[in-house]
Amino acid sequence: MRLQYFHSLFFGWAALVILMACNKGDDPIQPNPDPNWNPTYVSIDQPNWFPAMPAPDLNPTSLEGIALGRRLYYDAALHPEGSFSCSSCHVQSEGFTSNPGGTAVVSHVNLGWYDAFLWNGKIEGGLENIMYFEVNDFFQTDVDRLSVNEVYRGKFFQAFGDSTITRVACSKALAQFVRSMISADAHYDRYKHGNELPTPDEVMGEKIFNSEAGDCFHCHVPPLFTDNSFHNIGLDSVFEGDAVGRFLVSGNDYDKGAFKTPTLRNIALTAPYMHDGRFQTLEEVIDHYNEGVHSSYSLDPIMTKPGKENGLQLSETQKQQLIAFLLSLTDSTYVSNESFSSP
Amino acid sequence: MRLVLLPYLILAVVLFSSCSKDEAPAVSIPVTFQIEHFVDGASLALDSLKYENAAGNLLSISRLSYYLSDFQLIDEADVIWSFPQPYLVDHAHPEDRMIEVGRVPPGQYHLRFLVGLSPSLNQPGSLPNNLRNNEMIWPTMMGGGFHFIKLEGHFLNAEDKPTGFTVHLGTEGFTSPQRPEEVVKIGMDHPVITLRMEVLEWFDTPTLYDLNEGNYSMGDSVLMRQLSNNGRDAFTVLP
Repeated sequence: MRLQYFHSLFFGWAALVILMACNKGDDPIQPNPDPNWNPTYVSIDQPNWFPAMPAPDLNPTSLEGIALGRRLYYDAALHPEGSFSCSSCHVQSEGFTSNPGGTAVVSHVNLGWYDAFLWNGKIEGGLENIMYFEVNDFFQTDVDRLSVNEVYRGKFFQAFGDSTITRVACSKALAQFVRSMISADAHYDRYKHGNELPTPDEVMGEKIFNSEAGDCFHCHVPPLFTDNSFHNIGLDSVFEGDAVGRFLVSGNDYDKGAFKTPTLRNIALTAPYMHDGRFQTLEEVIDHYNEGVHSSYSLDPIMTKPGKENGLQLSETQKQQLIAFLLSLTDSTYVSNESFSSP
Repeated sequence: MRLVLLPYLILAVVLFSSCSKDEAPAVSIPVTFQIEHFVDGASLALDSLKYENAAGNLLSISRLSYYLSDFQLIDEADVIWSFPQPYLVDHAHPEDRMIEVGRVPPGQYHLRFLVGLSPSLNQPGSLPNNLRNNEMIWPTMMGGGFHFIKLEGHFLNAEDKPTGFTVHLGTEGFTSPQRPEEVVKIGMDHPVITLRMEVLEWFDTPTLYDLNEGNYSMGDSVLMRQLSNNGRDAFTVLP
């Protein structure tokens, strides 16, 4: 009998050792603070020809979180006086940007792939970081104003299991919604991966874009059409005030005049162009690259190809072909998708 | 009584085998490389206009990112231990500079590897589709695959004016095979092998490379040939 008892004890201990030794990599059990909280977790539906989207560590995406974020995005209640919402500047029909003058409004598209935000990249990290900046610093949201709304308290509970409304919770919900805002259904995507055919001008324009003739691809890397980096593209040769760009963040002299590479998706909808909105049309943008580049010690090395120090020297036909290609990046379904519209 | 011991025997086997399915035999040692980027006997400092190459160009370096692949360790019996997988190394990402390529028995080896990607790896879609590999893509209409190396910076040109340079290599034939002369000792007392890139070697031997005569290599097969050949002795193995 004593031997049997010893066997039971020994094998129980052995089983525990095996389980502990083999489960180091497993997820810890998530505590569920309220049995009535039952969020519907989802994966972001990203196109298989896009690079893998970095996943947030502490803000799993749920239908309830996306829905709450969408509601907040369109609600002026984020502003202490209720004067404006995210959507006041990020207008869907304009590719989630607008033209209020001054610093150009960054287009909200495919931001889930970004790791630095704003033109000089002063907010680094993921969408939760930039959305916290927007809620906490830009809007300075009065959470008490939101908390008196019983509907909002219920929706925060559905999303996060807690009806207490905080700036952090607001930013998490906004991040989930913005992460879901993916544009991948432009004519370009369809002729690359679907049934549509490119026009001859689009074909030639893409060749210019993806070759040394235009050399656009180094910074506007397909399929996101950005490299998440910062470049001085020769807009100025003297840098003062906000024109110092990335230098404000890095303190690196070679970052003077460098700004974040904007995506070119929906570029036809997102005028004006450049960080300060100095160009009103795509023709003006191409003319800058073609013949208006200003030299400086911090000019990006990519912009210093021999014979092209002052511009690409494209012909009028090539410029029109390049513009035809850029127009193929317009995603009409993105700017009319009801999932991203005001709820 | 012997039957009583049988369960213990089975348990011992389970304990020793249950968690080690992916492990190689106990006689093998992990091959771990620590990558260093050096200029003039010191670690590379980005964006410092203080380096001078063999042609006399005063230069700074703003970016150094490249692939290493096709590691081979040849033992004293001429057996080749191959580890073809690629590693992207970016000076701005310190975590890239420690790589474990596989395991081999302890001993002395000669080392071979590529700066760049072998033809089988240098294909669209051959590497994991993530942001960092995406940024290294070499457009299909220029040959396809990936940039093998992006070495970028600024220099003072012949008129003493600051300008940029880009060393971009890619497409078949422009890898830089490395065959360090030094013997690699792998054992428990040598857990990490240091591979040091002398960055300015890309501009020296066999071709004295003057940035005034070629500050932009992509698409120029003559410049790419000179640079890829110069890069063949960029790495040394430290004792």
